[in-house]
Amino acid sequence: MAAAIEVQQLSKRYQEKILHELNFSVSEGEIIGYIGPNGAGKSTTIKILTGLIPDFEGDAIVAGMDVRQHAIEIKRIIGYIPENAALYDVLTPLEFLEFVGHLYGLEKDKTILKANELLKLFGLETSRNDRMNTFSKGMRQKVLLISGLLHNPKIMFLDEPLSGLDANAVILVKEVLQQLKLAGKTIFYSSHIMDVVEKISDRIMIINQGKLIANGTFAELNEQAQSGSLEQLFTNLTGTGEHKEKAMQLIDIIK
Amino acid sequence: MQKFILLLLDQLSFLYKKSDIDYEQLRSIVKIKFEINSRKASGMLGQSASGKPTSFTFALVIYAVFGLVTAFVLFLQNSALISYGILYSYILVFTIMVLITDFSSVLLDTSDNTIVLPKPVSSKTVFAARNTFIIVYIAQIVLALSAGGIIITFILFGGLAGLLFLTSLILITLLATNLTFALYLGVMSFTSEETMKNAINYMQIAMTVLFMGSYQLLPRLIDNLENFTQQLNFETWMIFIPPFWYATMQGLLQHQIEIAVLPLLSVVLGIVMPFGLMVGIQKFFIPFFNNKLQDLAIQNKEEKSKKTQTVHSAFSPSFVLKKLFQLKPLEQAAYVLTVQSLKADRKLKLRIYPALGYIVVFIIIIFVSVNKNNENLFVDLHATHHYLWLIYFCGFLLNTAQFETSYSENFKARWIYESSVIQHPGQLISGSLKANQMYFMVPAYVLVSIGVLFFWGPSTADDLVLGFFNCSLITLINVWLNQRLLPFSLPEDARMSGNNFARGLLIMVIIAALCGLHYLAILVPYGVSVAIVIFFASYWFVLNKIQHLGWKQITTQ
Repeated sequence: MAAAIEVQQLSKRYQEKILHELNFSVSEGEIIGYIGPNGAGKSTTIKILTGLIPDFEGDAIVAGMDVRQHAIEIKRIIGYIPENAALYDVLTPLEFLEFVGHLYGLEKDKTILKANELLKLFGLETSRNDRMNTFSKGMRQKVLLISGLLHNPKIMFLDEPLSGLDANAVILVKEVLQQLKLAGKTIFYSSHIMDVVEKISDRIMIINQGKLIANGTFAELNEQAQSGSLEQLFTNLTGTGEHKEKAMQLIDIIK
Repeated sequence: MQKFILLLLDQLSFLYKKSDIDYEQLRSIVKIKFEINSRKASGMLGQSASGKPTSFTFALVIYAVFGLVTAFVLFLQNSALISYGILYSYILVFTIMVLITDFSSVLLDTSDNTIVLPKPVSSKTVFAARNTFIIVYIAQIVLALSAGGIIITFILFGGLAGLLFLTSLILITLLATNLTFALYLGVMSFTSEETMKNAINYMQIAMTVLFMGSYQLLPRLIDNLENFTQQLNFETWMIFIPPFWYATMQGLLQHQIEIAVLPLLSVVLGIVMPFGLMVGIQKFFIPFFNNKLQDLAIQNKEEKSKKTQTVHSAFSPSFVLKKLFQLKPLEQAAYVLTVQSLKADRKLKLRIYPALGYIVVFIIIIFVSVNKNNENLFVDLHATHHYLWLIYFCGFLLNTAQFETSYSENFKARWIYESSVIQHPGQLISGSLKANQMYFMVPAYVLVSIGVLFFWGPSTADDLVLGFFNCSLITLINVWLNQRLLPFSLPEDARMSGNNFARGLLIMVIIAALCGLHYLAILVPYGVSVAIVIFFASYWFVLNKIQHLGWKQITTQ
């Protein structure tokens, strides 16, 4: 299978080095979980791959095109869902989606039809004409997700797609990702916890302090963790471990 | 309006296409920006009396009215240099201020970058769209501000002067935009986003004061202008004041200024400077600017931790004050909360600080109104009791602060009062009252006292002591009778609802009564000394009453 994403010796520095010589490749149709603690460099990687940060060292190739030279062409065929729920929140979802459709050069009627259907699917049809500044984080996240799907992208980049979503929406999004995979899309999503999505990922890459420290299926990583090399980080990411001890300390403190 | 502008833009689409910009995308970005702008409250006129955000159109109408009033200086036909100098200054300053306040959101807005740039839009198109929007926006404001001036110029001085006016406007707008840009970029290169936002905040406050002040002062000043406008010659200092560059052009056109080196130099400056600035900015700043914006987004996280540290330092001086004010534990809590909010909450500052600025405006009004018919200002003023106005204005200030600190964006946090064991919530009110006293009234009162002692002499010392207690008493009585509101417990938009008029009337009655009593006390021998004792006692009495307010006596809206 052809590589959807190909990264070689990718480095990025602001004041200090944020990414250290990353090397990986993603095949078409794969779902990749890009896991790491806060500040590990997940968002920076995604921003480089989506053409938002043009100055970096090394090579990044998406859908066979160099990110530095063909940023616009790449943006046309990828979908990107940023983490901070950035959207124009005085607009209504429908207005925002129409605007986004315009930027992709989609037909107006088609966009509205699609947007309406998708809003309905995500349970937002009653608030489609309300301004989004009244929306909860989960609702905004859903609108963003729709805005990244409107143009039927080949490759999806999702930065913390599940944050702020309620339990039902999490299940829905997971299901959506699964279906997108079946439809042949490549999916690259980041998360700071090894949450339930671990099960739908074909492969998991763990990044810590700008370095790629593990790359494999969940089972493979689990095995490595048992043997000790990854133990500490893995416990943090999966959210087991010290927590019981902490809770017991708490009781002592409030006494 | 929007549709008209877009239609106009469509006529120019070939220009964009020529320079490799996707016009369809640009059009929809500009369109959405207008839509967003029309839904936001405009910064300076953020809230109308009804509490609803003012619409942009309404703001334009207001600008037009003010512009027209200012343009009346043109009727003083004997000196184009001075009358146009004043009008141009007004337009320039106003435009810069609108740019800074309303546009902080646009110039500093990284949401374009995060929302539009991930889409297949070239950064060139995004930049062009942003600039187009800014230009149209400014054009609307400048046209509104100068509509009166344009009409009057065409009627009084003819077509040539009118055309010169229009040309000058374009240059002035260019100058204003680039000056603002340079200001922003300058500040941004040296400071963080946090400092920047604070600076904008103070600018907004200054703007509000200027706006209200000019409303009060302009009609009064225009009366006094006749003497001032006798000046016909070009003075050297004018070359340093940009509006006079353009006023000089009008003066030359109307043959009121003799052709000489300096006037000609100022004409040249007027033409060259706007473009010079623009080229300078685009060459050196723009590339730097966009990188800086990205850096800011990253810096943000580090800065937050710093901020909380500084807020904590509010604890230490308050231990001293605890003794001074005899703060009870609950009062102490409300005191610290209020002080911290006054330091950190920009919205709160924007609501309270303009009241401080009004004092300055007020002082000027007093001076101007006394000065009207007489040369000997200080002797005249000395004989009056005008200082009472100044003193009691501080009472008004404290009342404003106390009122505003009852409202907050995070009003829901009042659950903490309700859920904790508080017997006398009145102490929360008195605690925040003492904070407001310390942070607003005392500094203002010290300034006013220095001024009063300087102009009216040491004999006013006892009046100042009495005034201090009375000013505090005004707010105490008002709280006791009317607004028993817990600090930060009510939503901001409830501020303007309900019995606005009645509330204003009550505070006026209280101020008038106490000020009147003060005036009577001055007339009676030893009256002021006796009054000090009486009002000091009343102060403690009412304060004590407020401290013992129970839950049932608290006003909830």
